[in-house]
Amino acid sequence: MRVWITGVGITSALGLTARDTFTRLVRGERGLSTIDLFDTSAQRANLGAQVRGVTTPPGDVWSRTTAFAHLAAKEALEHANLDPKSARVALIAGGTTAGMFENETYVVDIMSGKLPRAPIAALRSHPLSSTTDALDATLGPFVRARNVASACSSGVTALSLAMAWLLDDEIDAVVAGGTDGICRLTLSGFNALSATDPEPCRPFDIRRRGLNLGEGAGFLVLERATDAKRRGRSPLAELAGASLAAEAHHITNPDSEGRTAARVMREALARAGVAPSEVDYINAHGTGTPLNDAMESKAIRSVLGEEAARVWVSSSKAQIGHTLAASGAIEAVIATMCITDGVLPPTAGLAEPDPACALRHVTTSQRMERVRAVVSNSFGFGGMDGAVVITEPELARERTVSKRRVVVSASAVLEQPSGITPDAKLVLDPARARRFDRSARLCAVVAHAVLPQEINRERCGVVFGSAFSSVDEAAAFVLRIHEKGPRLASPAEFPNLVPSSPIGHASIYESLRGPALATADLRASAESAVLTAFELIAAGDADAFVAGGVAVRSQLIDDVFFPLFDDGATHTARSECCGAILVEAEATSANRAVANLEAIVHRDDAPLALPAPREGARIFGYVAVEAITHWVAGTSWSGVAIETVERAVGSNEAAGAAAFDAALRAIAKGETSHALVIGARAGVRYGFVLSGRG
Amino acid sequence: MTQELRREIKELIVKELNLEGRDPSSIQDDDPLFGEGLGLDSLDALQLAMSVEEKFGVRIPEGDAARSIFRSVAALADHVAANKSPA
Repeated sequence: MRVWITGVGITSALGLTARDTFTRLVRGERGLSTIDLFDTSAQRANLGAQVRGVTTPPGDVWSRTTAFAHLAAKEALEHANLDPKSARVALIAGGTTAGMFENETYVVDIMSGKLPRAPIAALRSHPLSSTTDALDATLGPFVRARNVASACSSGVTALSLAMAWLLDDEIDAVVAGGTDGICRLTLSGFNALSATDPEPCRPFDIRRRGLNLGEGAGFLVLERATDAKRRGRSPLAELAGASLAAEAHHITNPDSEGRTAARVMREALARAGVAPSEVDYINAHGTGTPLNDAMESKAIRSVLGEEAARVWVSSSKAQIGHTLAASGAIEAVIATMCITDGVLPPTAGLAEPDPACALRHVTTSQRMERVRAVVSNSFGFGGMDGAVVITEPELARERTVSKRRVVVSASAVLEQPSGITPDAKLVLDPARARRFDRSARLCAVVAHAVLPQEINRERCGVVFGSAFSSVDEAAAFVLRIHEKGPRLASPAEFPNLVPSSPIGHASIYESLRGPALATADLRASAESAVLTAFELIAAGDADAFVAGGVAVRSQLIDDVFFPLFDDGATHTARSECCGAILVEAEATSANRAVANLEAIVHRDDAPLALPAPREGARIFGYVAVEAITHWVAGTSWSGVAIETVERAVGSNEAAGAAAFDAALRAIAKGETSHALVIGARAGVRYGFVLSGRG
Repeated sequence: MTQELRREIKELIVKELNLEGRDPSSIQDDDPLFGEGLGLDSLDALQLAMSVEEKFGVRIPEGDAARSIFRSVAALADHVAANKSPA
């Protein structure tokens, strides 16, 4: 399968289109200004790449983050001449902030008692899924949609998952990318970590001090070459390979040896079938922090070997800022345009390269006869690393990839109908878990419970779905900034506020070095995580995943966020829940497999296309039996016995994990050999069929 | 005065860096805080600097200058005592 890039879009401080951004990038212009979205006068650094001239539509609850994504995704779709109304197009958006900027003031007012602890319509832009929902309503309908977060590598995670999705004949094209907006939380947080440069930043320079925060979005339209040809499209470039892996090292600091950074570059090149001798350019992560740039340079030299003297390297972050979840996607668009235009943008601000960053730096834009292959890197908090390889069309030999069979081997759940999990159930090594917030503790305990000693941790990833992330901690952080000023923002707390942090902590705690990421899909967040694991394992991105959901107890979620999205399918009170299953490729599951796993998803209210139930089959869900009955109406499973874990787990966004656990236990005990785990949220139904192997 | 300040700093370290189960009085005045010794890292240093500023109103400079101040509880207490504005 060849994956062609047939459309691109960028929203950045340098321009509101990919072309404008790239033109100014090549000229060496810098999109930096004093951030004035809010009062930044007391911030340690307030220079950033703020996007100007984008408005959110009146009447809709849109965050700026969503508005950036809308612009860039629309541009990419139009560029590809693709209309989701007439083709089967899917959407993947990486993001970490969603409506944080818009919501911060409401949250402060609620926390300080100025507003009642009650649902507020404006807060509908808080969940990460608000972006894909808004894009689905305006640019869609999309046949599949997913939110992914792996901190600053979210954009690359979206592209990797898109490649996995294109193995599926039910999808014609994927529009994938990332988006993030500057907010008080991220600016104060990066400042608290002293990770920012108050002056224009200087990636790879001996005097570099840190990054300049940026914002924006990047999206790419990806389709199978065969389909693109059929509809008469020519490629801009080819997304030839991608790789995701976790460092399992530290929540903020990269492994100084750059081992995982090197691993993802090597793996992405291998999957692309591209040799270092064919790489002409690397668009580096190049944040401008002392640690990143030295680590990344070491990793690049180790991957390229002697070729490092020839291969040009630059970072775009001194011009468009560090756009966090958008960066991997924006930089993939830049890589694409380097190939189409035959020109490489410089690293602005680089005057005297640090000997520790010895590379062939592009210091003034470089005209090329030909750019064959580009590697683009992204590394995120929690050690979530990713790389993509973008090439001229048909540079490498076509790869045949076939989907692998997927099984489930184990399950665990911490369910607490009375509200909150007792601390006695959350036993972890205090020294290694001292930075964990509650979500991280829950995820680490559950991950530990499902992992067998003998599993290959290099190829085992971790993914948890969480609808609202760690809201209480974010609110406390923002309230503290409001009351005490940004200088007293907590450096240790900030990394925990990235939606993927609990997963990062679990990956570090369990030394899991496969892909680590979070997903979000309101009440079906656990299902979205399991499905993502299923897709990435089937495509060969990992051999196994700890996959589940986490819904942490929080008065803000209970009283403010959860009721905003309540559809009445369950009447039990919201409670804390965390659960996971171990999903594996059948080929590497040794003798652990309990059931084969198939996944069927539908994005409107039409019945799921399920395989016929076997004798004695059972349905497992987590809402009222009437709601589940309605969800299976019109399918071959209509009339099959239904078991709900509603009373055991209460109502929450991770309850799907408990339904999986119940199904797997019933199969292990021989009570049934065929189970349907079903979950849904407005407009989306998830069905998973588990077939016992006994 | 010095002993009192050192005790307060030890308590601050245990509380702010979540050294669960660690008795503050078990930290010796001259124990190295980072690397060997307590085994703290750069993220702890940032958190400790912020907490010291909040509690004592004393700023810890960024970068290499912080290194000697963070050598031990005794060194940190000396820096705080020398820079604290009189109550």
